[in-house]
Amino acid sequence: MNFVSDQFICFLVATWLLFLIMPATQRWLLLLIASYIFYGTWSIPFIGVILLSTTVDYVASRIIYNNDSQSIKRTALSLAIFANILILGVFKYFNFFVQEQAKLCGIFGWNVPLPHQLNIVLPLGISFYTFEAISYLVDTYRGAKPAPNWLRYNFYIMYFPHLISGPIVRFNELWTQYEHTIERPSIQRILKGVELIVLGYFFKTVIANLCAMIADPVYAAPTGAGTLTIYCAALAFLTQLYMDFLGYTHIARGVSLLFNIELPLNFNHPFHANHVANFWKRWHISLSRWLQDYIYVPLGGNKSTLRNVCITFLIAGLWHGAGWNYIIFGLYFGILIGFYHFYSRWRAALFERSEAIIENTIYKQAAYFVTFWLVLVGFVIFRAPDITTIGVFVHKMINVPSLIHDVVSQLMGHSFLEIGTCLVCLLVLLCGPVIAGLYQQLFKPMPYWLKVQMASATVVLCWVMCSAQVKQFIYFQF
Amino acid sequence: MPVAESHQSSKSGSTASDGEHHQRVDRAGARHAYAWQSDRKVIIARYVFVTMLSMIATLGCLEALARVVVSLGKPINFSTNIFDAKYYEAVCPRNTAVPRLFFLGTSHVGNGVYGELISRRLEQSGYRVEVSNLGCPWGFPTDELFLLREAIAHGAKPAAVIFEIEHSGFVSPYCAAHYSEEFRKSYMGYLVAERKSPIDKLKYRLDKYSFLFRYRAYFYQTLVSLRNTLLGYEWMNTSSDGVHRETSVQGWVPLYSLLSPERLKSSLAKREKQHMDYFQNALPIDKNIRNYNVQPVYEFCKSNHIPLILLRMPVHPQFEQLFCRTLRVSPEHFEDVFRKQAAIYHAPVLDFSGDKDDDHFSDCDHLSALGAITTSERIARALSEKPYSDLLQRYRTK
Repeated sequence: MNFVSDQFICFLVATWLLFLIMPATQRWLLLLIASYIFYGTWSIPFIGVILLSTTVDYVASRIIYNNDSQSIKRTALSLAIFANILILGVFKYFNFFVQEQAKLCGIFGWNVPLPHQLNIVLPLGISFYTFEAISYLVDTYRGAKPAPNWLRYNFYIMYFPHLISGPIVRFNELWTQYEHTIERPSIQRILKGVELIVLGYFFKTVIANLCAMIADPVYAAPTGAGTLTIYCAALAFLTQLYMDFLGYTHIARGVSLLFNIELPLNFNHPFHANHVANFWKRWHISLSRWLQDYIYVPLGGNKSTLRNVCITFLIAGLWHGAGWNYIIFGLYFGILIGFYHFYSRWRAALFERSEAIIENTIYKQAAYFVTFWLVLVGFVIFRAPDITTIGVFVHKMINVPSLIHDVVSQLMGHSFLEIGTCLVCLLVLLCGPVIAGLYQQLFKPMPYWLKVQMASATVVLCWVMCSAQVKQFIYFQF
Repeated sequence: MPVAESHQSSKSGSTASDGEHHQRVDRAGARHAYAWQSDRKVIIARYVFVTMLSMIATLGCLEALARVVVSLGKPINFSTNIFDAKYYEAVCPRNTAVPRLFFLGTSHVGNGVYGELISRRLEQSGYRVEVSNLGCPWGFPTDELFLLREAIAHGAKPAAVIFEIEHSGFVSPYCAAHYSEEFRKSYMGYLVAERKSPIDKLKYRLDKYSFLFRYRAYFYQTLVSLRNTLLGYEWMNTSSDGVHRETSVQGWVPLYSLLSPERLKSSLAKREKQHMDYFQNALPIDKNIRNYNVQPVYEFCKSNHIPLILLRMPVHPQFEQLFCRTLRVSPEHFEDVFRKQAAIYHAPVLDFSGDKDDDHFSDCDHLSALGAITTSERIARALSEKPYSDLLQRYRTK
């Protein structure tokens, strides 16, 4: 069941009405059943995978909590994490490793009998719920209280608004909200939820889908495209990805608010970052937080920054998907952040007044520009279907004379198609805080009836944009 | 909370016995709770009322806007789908006096038969017929028979019907008995298709009375092309499927993009997935199986005394292999199945399978514009030779 579908709307309305009439103590059970139905519409067999995974996690958490022996605790934790990673590995990475092994053997001319590829599809949301399960296990190991029973733990994993694509929530963040009862939401919460849902649909169906129409053809055949077209496609994809994921998160948070459960924020104007490390503190915040707490810090944190950052982002890249582009994507950001740390230490050591340099307007603007460009290249790597495409894109993106030539020739030809598209994308990406501020200033003081009218018009716009096939959310594949 | 406050005040001011005290507290609490709930109900009712009214007002404004936008544009040609274009193709011939040769089939025919070229070549060979290509992407035989009936009702004289034997017709009788989803989405489809479920009936009513609903696809196209309209006049050079599509003369929908290895791979993967979803319950196919899709066309032609010719359109060799693999039959077995259709339906088969030129394809099972022109030349040549020329003999002019 896609979030952008008639079935989901009907499912949501039915679940919500039932939620309102159920006793407060039983509402979490209703939401658990609804979550199973939601997941069952994708695949019933894969519910079995989740049940297996959650059972292992729950049993391990009880063992960890009830035993005083450190060795038993550590063994239970290791085995449970291994089981989770094994399930993820089989479904997500097995075929990739078999293919790559075959290619490697082919290069050396070895005739090694290889295992057959598995003809399976990836269980939806597996990467997300595996990370949530690991965070639960590690938190229990670190002394947090585990779920009192299996069903309660199941709710944490299965709760449908965050099941497929996050945000990656900690057990305690969610548990405190359904521990005793789930009350009916206040009218303000309902209105906030509906607002988030409408905005989410707008981001996904209107902006992300329009951007996909611009980006997809160029990524499919980039060889003949000019530099400006390449920039146009790269910016369009970045906008698509941002709006797609932000749209999903808005819908997830909005839906959850209707059930009086608050999910954490996942984005904080990411393209307003002045260095790459800062970008990752603003982009997919729940994943960055998870990586920091469960990979980077246990590895030693700032003791060996470059190594630890590279390992952390390599895992982040692999988490996104089984492909060389994701590995390069992870390493790329790992190296960039590692070098940024070196650079900031070097700057602090070399200049006594390094803070003054950072506050300098020209330095600030240059930092924003460089960060944005590096992030843009990073997401070209993320989107490119193969290494060749990455090469073509990057080669064209660094060809500044060609870019100037393309811009001038388009302006001379009285067409602003690509320049205009780039500017609109930049506006969407970079002016987030300004747009959000304007939205707050203009929308908040409006009378309620006008807000409803605007929301209704937006819904109709989204409905019109859904008349062609709506693409799946990008992060659903992870 | 008013309820909690009332409890406290009652308790603090109480001098009566425990029983009386509790009764009084309960009554006071209940009264306050009722008042609180009542307030809440009023607030909710007010919210619901304002929301409904605002939504209705917005829909009304948008409906009015839709009517203005529609009256300014020409949505009738673009808002609906290919079936409506084909409908005009069926009922508005260039010359009503000239007999017509109808090509029916799926997108293979719709994209692969250049009707005007065949008409010209046949005319050069001495046969005066007008070719109409009624093949529609995602079309079922039922849809095309509707178009054919409409053409006949509008005075067309069919010289022959050339019907494509499509692969999927061997595995399920579904398409032969229902209107396709795409056809039901078209304006014509809305007018004729049967609607059993209440949702379908509701949709039909909305489409009938609301411009906002009826021209949804037109608004979508307008919004999508807004970027072009506002910023420039040239679309990026792209090989994306569907970008360079247009309905040409006599129903031809050419695909200009040529096959590339990536395109072949992706289209085969797409087809494989569709086949896996669709064919699971019908495997393996029997050698003497009938092509379900031909049956209604055969019966229609028989009852109207229209000659029927079966047509096998070229598909990429790898698509044939994929199909045989999915159906778990050997290529020889599959060839036998195809050949047997001629005997089953007493109709000659124009067989153009086996085209191995990649330039002739746009993806694994659709001809490119170049392939369509080449195949149309071959069809025209074949039709002007025996045994097919016998069917057109009475339309010979020289």
